[in-house]
Amino acid sequence: MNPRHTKRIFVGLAILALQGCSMHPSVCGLRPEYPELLYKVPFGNVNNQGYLTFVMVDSLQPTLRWEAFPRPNDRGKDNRRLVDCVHNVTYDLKIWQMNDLFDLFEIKLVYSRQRLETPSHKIEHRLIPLTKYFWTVRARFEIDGHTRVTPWGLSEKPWKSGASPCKLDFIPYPNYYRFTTPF
Amino acid sequence: MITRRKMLITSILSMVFLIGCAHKLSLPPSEAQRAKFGTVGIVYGSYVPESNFDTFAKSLLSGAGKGALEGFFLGAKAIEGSANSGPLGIILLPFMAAIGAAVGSIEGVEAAVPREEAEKIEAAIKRAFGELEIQKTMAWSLFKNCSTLSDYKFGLLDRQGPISPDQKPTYKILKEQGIDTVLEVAVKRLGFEGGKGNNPSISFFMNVQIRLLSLIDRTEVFFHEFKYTSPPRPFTHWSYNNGQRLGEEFSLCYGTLSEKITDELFLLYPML
Repeated sequence: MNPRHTKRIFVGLAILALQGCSMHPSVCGLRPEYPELLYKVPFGNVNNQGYLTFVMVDSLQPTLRWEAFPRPNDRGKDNRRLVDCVHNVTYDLKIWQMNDLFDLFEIKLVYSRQRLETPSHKIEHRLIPLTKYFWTVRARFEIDGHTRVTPWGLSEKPWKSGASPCKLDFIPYPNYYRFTTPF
Repeated sequence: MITRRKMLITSILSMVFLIGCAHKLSLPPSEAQRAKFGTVGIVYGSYVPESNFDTFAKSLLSGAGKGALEGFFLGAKAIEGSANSGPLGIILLPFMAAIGAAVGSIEGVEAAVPREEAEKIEAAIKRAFGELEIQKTMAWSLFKNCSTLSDYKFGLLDRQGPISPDQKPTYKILKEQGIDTVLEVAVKRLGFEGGKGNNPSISFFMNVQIRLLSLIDRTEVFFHEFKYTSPPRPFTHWSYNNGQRLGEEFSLCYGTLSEKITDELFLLYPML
């Protein structure tokens, strides 16, 4: 092999290794489509423990998107009834602003909407530039004349071994969907 | 330096939320069980929940020295003499003493808090809890949240719940009053948890136990202890304006727990 090629491949691999690897983790509830959910494991992390990245959105009034309900995997044999009988599907959305300035970790609910008719929503007011946000979404629907909801969406990673975070009665902060705003 | 400290805080937070507060949920009621709920009576505990406000403050004081003890005594005197301190201010008084001394870097003699003074503080905190009506406020918040659901009928029933943490009433008598299901809510424990040292970052927490009993089937349909934990904040945040922010956190806590409980019992669809 050409030594130049070998060198380029080596340099490319080194850069990749230093950046660590990113993946789309499994979720509980509805999966976010925009901004995407990215889990990063830093290079050399022996425990394979990483973190969810704050993906930068394209504006201060981003349009958040998520998968529609019922999802393709709800159409399995066991959920046949769910798919056939569900109607009036809408979505609930919550957004928290995160402040971690001067060692003070603060999370404040700043935006909440119920019964959105489509699986996307343009934020109705400008968010704060260069600020981190957590968000989550769930489906609200009717089945057999009763209102029901799916669990709030959360990432299954990061998580230590053992029971899934989906089985908890709260969303751990490291598992919230997230984004950051541009300048 | 700040970045390093931030990283440390983030790591601690991750640990806390990944390990410390892992409350595994029991399964929500099945659709067949929900179909029988009918009229739901909400009852609440009528005892003072266990708290660690006083023991937490004392643990801060034990390493803080003479200045802290003096402050603690002043706190006790302020409680005796002041009718103006609201219940939240009273809860926070022992902490103010401890933190005031620690921030001023007063180093001195380590000594145990005299029993008499400690008892005064403990009694004052218990009275403050009584004034806050924590059990009733939690139940009222849950009732308000549940009342938005059109599928069920809810009623808030006074003086029907357990009078001690160990009591487990059967509520048979409520069947005659037209109640099909009893939703028992009891605040079991609340307080602060977290760090030590100068102006430590501490989290407010509250544990609420929920029992859902079918008076038709005479069975316990659901049992779970829900926990609310705030993000950790420096003590000076909590003590601001005589406990104003602690009061705000109480409100947020009632609302968050009520929403969680309502979702779990009445709305969440068991996904396969």
